Amino acid sequence: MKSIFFAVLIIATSASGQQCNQAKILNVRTSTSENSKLNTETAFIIQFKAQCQNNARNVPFYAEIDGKFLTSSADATGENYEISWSEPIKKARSGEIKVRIFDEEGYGAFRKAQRSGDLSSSKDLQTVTFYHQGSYKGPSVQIEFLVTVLFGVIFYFAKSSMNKIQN
Amino acid sequence: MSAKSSKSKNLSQEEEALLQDYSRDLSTKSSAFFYGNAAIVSAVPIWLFWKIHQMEPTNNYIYFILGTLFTAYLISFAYKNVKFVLKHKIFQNLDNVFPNEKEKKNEDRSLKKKNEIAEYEATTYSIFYNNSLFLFILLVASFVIFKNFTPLFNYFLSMSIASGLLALFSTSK
Repeated sequence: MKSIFFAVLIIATSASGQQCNQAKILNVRTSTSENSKLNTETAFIIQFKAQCQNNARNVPFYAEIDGKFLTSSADATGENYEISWSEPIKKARSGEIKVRIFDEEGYGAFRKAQRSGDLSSSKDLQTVTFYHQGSYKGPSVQIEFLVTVLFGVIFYFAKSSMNKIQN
Repeated sequence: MSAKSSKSKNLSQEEEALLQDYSRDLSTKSSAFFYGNAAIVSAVPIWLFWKIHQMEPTNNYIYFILGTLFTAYLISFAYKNVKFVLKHKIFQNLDNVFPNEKEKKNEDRSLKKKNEIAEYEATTYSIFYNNSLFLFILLVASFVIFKNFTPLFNYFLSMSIASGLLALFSTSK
């Protein structure tokens, strides 16, 4: 009984500590939210498929963005991963965004290199570069204001013509 | 006595024309034209309140009908008043257009012609002036003054104030 129990524990721990050997990142897709009128924050999403030589699934991957690290989440198949984050609309920058993706080993090596100050030795699995064109903030002048001003101008024209007739 | 009274009752054609000219009463054609235009202009804000202020016509058709009828009445009142004032001003200005037709035999014809022109111009100008004023006041009232009110109150108050002010300003000379 005890042996069975320990065997189950060993399997469980080895499964959770499973590493992805020679991971290949495929089918990278990126998306960002572009309408500030419908959202309170700007969301950035990177989705990809990871194929491991040892067929490991649901393994952690790490993304480095501007010195900050995020962990990935996987779907039910364990092969499709997603890394996402959000920023306040005013702070979210537009333009080119570079995201470096690491596996667990690469992440450990990168952190070591960061502490030592020598980042040249760190090697990522893939660098994803995508472009965020910025959020649409709506027209700078409200349309009802423009229409009211337009009708005000038309009325002014009518009134001045009427004054000419009466005088 | 009876002969005198019958004479005063039988007005000449010229006197009748003069009375008609200086009266605020409209011909049937002018009335129909004014009421038709007033109804159209009063109905236009329904689209605004339906699409922008989210007042569904199926739920609020009674209020829309009442508001349109009330506003149309006041707008047509304003049309009539402004037309009356403008007609005489335009008529006076037309003396410069027909300066040579002062001979007796042509006088009636020129007067009739000037009257028609003045009538037409005053009618169209009254409609243009009152429509622009009504829509301007309505936009200011619904988007600025009453923008935080519920749509129904916004509709009634904006329409009442716009048409009420229109009728009030039309009574001035």
